[in-house]
Amino acid sequence: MDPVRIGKLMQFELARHFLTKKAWLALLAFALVWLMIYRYGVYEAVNILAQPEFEQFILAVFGNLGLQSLLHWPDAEMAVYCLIAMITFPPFIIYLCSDQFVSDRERGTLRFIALRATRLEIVLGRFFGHALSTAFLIAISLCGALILVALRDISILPQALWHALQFELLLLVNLMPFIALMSLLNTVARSSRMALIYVILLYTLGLLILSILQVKLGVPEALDYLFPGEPLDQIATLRPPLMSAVLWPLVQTGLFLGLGFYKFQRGSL
Amino acid sequence: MSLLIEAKGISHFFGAKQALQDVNIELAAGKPIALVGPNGAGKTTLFSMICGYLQPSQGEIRVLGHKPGSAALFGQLSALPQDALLSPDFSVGEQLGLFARLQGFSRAKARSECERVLELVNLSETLNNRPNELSHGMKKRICIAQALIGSPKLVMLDEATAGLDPVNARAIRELVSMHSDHTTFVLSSHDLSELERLCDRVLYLRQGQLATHELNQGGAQLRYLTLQLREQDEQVLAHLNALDQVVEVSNSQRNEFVIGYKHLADTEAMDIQVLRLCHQQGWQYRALVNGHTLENQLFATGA
Repeated sequence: MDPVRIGKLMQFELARHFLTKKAWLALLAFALVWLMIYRYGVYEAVNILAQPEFEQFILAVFGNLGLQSLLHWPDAEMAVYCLIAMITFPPFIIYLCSDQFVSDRERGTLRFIALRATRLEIVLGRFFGHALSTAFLIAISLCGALILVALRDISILPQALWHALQFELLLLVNLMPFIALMSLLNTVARSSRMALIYVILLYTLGLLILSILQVKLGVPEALDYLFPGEPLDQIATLRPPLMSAVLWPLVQTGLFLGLGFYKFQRGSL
Repeated sequence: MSLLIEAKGISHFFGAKQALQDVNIELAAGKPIALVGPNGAGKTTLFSMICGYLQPSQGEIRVLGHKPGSAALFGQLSALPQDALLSPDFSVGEQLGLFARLQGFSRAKARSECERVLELVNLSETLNNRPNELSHGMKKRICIAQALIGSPKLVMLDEATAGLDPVNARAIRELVSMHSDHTTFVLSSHDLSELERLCDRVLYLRQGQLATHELNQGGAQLRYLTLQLREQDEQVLAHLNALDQVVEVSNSQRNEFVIGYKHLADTEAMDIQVLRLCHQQGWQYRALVNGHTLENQLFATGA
């Protein structure tokens, strides 16, 4: 395994996400959606954060996970951003990472690359490229929240920056299993659309079956952690349990990547 | 010195269907090698295994002494896989540049290498084009260009000239011929006349089994000429049989005759005699081939 080749493949993925015409359109759409979220979501929500009804609403939606503590942050925009981001980013990243190499494989493009890089390098190069793109997108969306904070009260910007940095890292770590899962599904699907269908089935049928097993057979609830994203609601407070919300997503990422590589290595190109 | 390609007892199954059956190959570097056979004979399967795209169900294959797909082969083995296309998201230069950089070129040298290989296929002007802006033939030539990046020792070309116009097909043949001194090409094609012009060795696959031929080097007592006429004449067989030294004449296909003769010293060369006979009889000949045509070697003689 050559880290230099992995780096070159990763750079190429970054170029795919940020330097092609298709990417510019996608980025524009991403920026506009977040602009709408800030204008009609974050900006308006900040005004109602202090109301006790809103705290009840948060409790009703997320349960007693401590998220209501967010409502007392001085940088309220960051608090609202965290709530929205942890809900919207997973499906967005699943979509963004649904085609890590499946269309290249079906088109035959991967055959040119496979003569110049090992399959492990291809899997890792594409994975890290998508992970880095995700980090950039989170950072871009965070900039909006920071601008809103600065416009309202510049004195709380340092605190908001610290919150932003922590949230960026925690969200990225918790999104990595989604990226790795899509990498795995790319080895079995024949198109990115099929990869998306598989992940929808996994999250609907899979969770349904698991919940039935938990109710009928008393299967441990910890098995929920098999599915990426389970610890997501713990990270918005920025004080999540280290094991379940940081270490486990990293282990999960490694497991999905390992399984994906095993399948990819044995398959034909 | 290790062999270029060495395969021992390789077989492959697609479900219940056996695509390759106990194929053994030992090929050393040299002149281009033809890989021929009817549709479904296993050519692309064998091609894919040599390139590392597919693993054999049984047996072992080595390319330049290494397992296909291993990093030691990067830059040494390149290929034009059948029907493979470049990504529509990037320009030709960006993609060829990536391939060159993966082969170890610096960014600046990768660019000049891309320009060099595109020049070889007369497509320098496409450097900044996306593949979907180009014709089928141009895409094919660009895929051939990527196979020439660096100095590969072995280049596998699957149906390299299929779909190309005659001028460009000829240019590709000249390209192969020009690079044959330092690179061994393996060419898969259905165009036997093309392979005949380029190759000395033939791998003939039929129903997953392999036969190897050395073109026109049978070492038999008889020598052969193949005469192709524009029009059939009923008297051709009789006239050819009447020539001195001729032992046998067969009408291999319409307007084509295979002449077997014994070469004797101090006698007029047989090709001169045949050409004189054509002139005397007023036969318009299309071609006079020294030996068997590849087509006859593979099919008429039962391969």
